[in-house]
Parts: sequence; structure tokens; C-alpha cells
Amino acid sequence: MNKSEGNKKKWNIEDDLLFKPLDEMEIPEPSPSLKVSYLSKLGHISTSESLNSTNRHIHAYIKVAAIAAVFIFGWFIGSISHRNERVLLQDVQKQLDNNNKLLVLTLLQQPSFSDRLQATNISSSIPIIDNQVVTALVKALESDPDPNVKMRCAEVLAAHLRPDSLSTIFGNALDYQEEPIIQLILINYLKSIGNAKSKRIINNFINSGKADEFVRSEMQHSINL
Amino acid sequence: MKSIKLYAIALFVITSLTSIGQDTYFQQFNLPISNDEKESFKVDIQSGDVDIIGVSENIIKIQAEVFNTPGKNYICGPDGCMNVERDDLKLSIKPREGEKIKKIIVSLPFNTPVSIRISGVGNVNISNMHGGIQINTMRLNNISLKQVTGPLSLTGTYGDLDIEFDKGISKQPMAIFLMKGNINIKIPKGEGVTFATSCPDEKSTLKQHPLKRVYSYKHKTDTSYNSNKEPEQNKMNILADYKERIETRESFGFTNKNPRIKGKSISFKEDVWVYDINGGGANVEIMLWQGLIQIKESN
Repeated sequence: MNKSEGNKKKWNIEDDLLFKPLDEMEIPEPSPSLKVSYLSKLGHISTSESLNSTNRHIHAYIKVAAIAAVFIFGWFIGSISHRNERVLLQDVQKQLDNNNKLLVLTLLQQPSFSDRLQATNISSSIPIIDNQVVTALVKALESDPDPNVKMRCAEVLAAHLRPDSLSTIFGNALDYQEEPIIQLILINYLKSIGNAKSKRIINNFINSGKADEFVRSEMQHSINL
Repeated sequence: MKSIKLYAIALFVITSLTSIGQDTYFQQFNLPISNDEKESFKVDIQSGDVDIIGVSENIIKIQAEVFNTPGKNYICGPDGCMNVERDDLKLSIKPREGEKIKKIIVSLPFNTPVSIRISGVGNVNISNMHGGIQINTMRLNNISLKQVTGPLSLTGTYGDLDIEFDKGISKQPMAIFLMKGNINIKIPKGEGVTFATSCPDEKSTLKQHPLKRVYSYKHKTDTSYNSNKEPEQNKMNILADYKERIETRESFGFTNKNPRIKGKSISFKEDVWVYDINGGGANVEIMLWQGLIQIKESN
């Protein structure tokens, strides 16, 4: 107990030595101009703080708007380029079909049967065949020396033309055919079309004596014909 | 004694007449040809066998065996029995009026394109030819092609077809159409070929189209078809590594008995089995009404 009292006394002496000069110092009073300056600075700070907060809001809006603008712009550009792409693709497809058409017309004139077979393969990939290609295919169907080329021409025509046109084309082509296979194929097509015109063509052909003996025999016995 | 003499005379007359009817004439042509590879060789005959052998010489040798048709008074003259026309780089053999070809044996430069058309009965044998081969037969005709590379375009009515491809099969499109008969194809080991057919492999894992095999008939319609081997019902057998797939294509309206009618248009589309052998390659389309297709690799 005595020891703690002694320590307290010791601290008080040290405090007195350290802080007494400070306590004795004269405290200056704030001048009226300082108060004015202080208040004006305080007002300025508060204004700038409020301005900053407004700016922060504005910045956030601007950012959102900018992002939206970027998205809208991107979408707009994308849609334009997509539209352009589609138009471009359509152009390319049209060009490709046109090139294929020219290729078909050229290859069908070639002396090599494999070139002419190639022509029929290409023509089957053209979505819509025009009159020029139809005419070339009909000519090949009527007079090509290779029966396989003729058959493929018939296939392509059957895929693209309407039954009425097909009846007429196949009916005319039938008169040119010597090969029994081609005769049978055309008759079978006509039978599949099944309209009155086709039936009349088949009957006329069989009765005309142009039908190969083998074809007549098939016509009598076959289940399909 | 008198009657024996009469019999002898009658026998002599009959024999002579028969021999006139069956007289055969041989003629050989040796035709040097240009270096133009486009020159093609064409045979167009009513009936008779055609044998063609590819050689490395630049000369065409034609040996023809022709006999007069009984009842026609045609007699072979010193200039031969056949027309050999050379026009627009095409060399054509056509028999003259009243003649009937028994057999033609031709040796040609191996890269010459060949076109053969037989409207009656007759077989075709071709070996060692590396140019385009087009054969169009219309009755009972067996076709045998050995050591060929194609391209090929073959059409036949009745008969068997044997093809033995040589290495370096042409990449150009090929087509085979046969009504009734068996098709045997041999390809060199490891050679890539793609076969497209309306006939599925026996071991096919793909589901068969319900419309397939609707069209089938077993009656004999042509009395000239006397083969002991009646073709089996559509069958495909592949003895090689292959991958299969189904493609939808236009058909001839045979196997697809019920073409779809959409509005005013008609669709003959049907499923086609496609077999890529050794990874696929040269494209061969096969259309067979009735028979067996066998494809195998040579050893």
C-alpha cells in the first residue's frame, strides 16, 4: 500500500514537469476572419461533396447508358451485318447455282459419259432448274448414247417438274428409246404419275408396236406395272 | 443302189446348204492410231461376243468372225465383211446389212475409251483397259471386266456381271444398272471405293426402309434366259472393311412403289444404302432389280 502511494507521487512530479509549461501557455482566441474563412471552407467542402455525389450518380447513369449504347450499337451492327451476310449468302448461292447451271450445260455436251454423269449429279443439287437446264436434260433423255445418263436425267426431271409436264416429256421421250430398260423406267414413271394422260401414253406406246418385246412381257406379268 | 445314190446326193445338197448358212469369215484389220488419247473405240452390233484386250502398242488389231445370215444373199467381198468407220476420233465397227457377227476380238491401246452396244445376245470380255468403258446390252449378256480402272457405265437386262478392278480406280462417277443377274466386284486390297445401292447388305445394322423390296417378282419373262443360276432375291454381301449410311435420293420409281404426291408435284425419293469401303473413294452407283451383289477385296 505504501509502495503504490509512493509511485503516484512520483508520477505527479513528472506530470508537473512535462505539462506545467503547456498549461501556462496563452491560448489564442480565433479571430472573426478565421471563423468566416472556416465557415466558407466548410460550405465549399459540403457543396463539392454534394456535387461529387451527384457526379457519381451521373457517372453511374452514363456507364449504364454507355453499356446499353454499346449493346444497342452492337446489336444494330450485328443485325446489319447479319442482314448483309444473309444477302451475301443468297448472292453467293445464286452465283453458285448459276455456275452449276453453266457447268451442267457444258458437261452434258462432253463426249465422255462420266462427264455427262457428273452433269446429272450436279443438276440434282440445283434447287430450282430453269428452262435452259430442263431443255438440255430433256434432249439428253431423248438422245444420249449412255442409258445411265438418260436414267439420271429422268430422275432429275422427275424431282423438279410437275406431273403434267412430266407426262408430256416422258411420253415424247418414250418414242426415242430403243433400250428396254429406259422404256420400262419411263413407263414406270408414267404409271407412278397415274393421271389420265400418262395412262393414255402407256396404252398408245404398247399398242404402237414400238415397245420392246421384253417390255411388253414385263408389262403383262409384272406386279408393279 | 439307186436309192443310196439319191440319199447321197440329198445329203450332199443338205450339207452344202447348211455349210453356206454357217459360213464364217475371218478378217483382221491393223489400224495404226494417233497419239490423241481421246480417240475412242465403238462397237455396235446386233449380237455376238466381243473380246477386248488392252495393250501398250499404239495400234488397233481387230479380228472378226462373221457368218452370213441364212436367207440373205450377202457374200463377203475382198474388202471384208464389216464397216470400220473412222470419224471424229471415233472408230466404229458396224456389221453390213445381212451379216451377223459371231465374235470380235480387238486389241487396243490400254487407255482408249471403249463403247460397246449389243442389242441381242452376246457376251463381253474386257481385260487390261484403263480408260472409260461404256457397255449397253439389252438381252442375255454376261459381262466380264478384268484389270480395269474405269470409269464405267454399264447397263444390262439379264446376265451376270464380274468386275475385277485394277489399282488406281478412277475417281470419276460410275454407274451400273442391271435388271436380273449377279454382280461380283473385286477391288484391290486397301483401295477406297464408295458403293451406293438400293440393296442393303445382309449384315446391315441400319434399319431397312419399309418400302424396300416391295417390288419383286420371280416369274421368268424371257425364254432366252436359260441360266441355271436363277438370281437370288436382292441381296448384298460385302467381304471387306466398310462403313454404311443411308442417304435419301431420287429413285427411278421402281423400289419406291408409293411416290409421295405433294400438291401438284410428285416425289420419287427413296433410301439408298451407301457403303464406304476402306474409307470410301471412287463413287459407284449400283441399281439391281433382282440378284446378288457381292463385293470383296482381292488378296
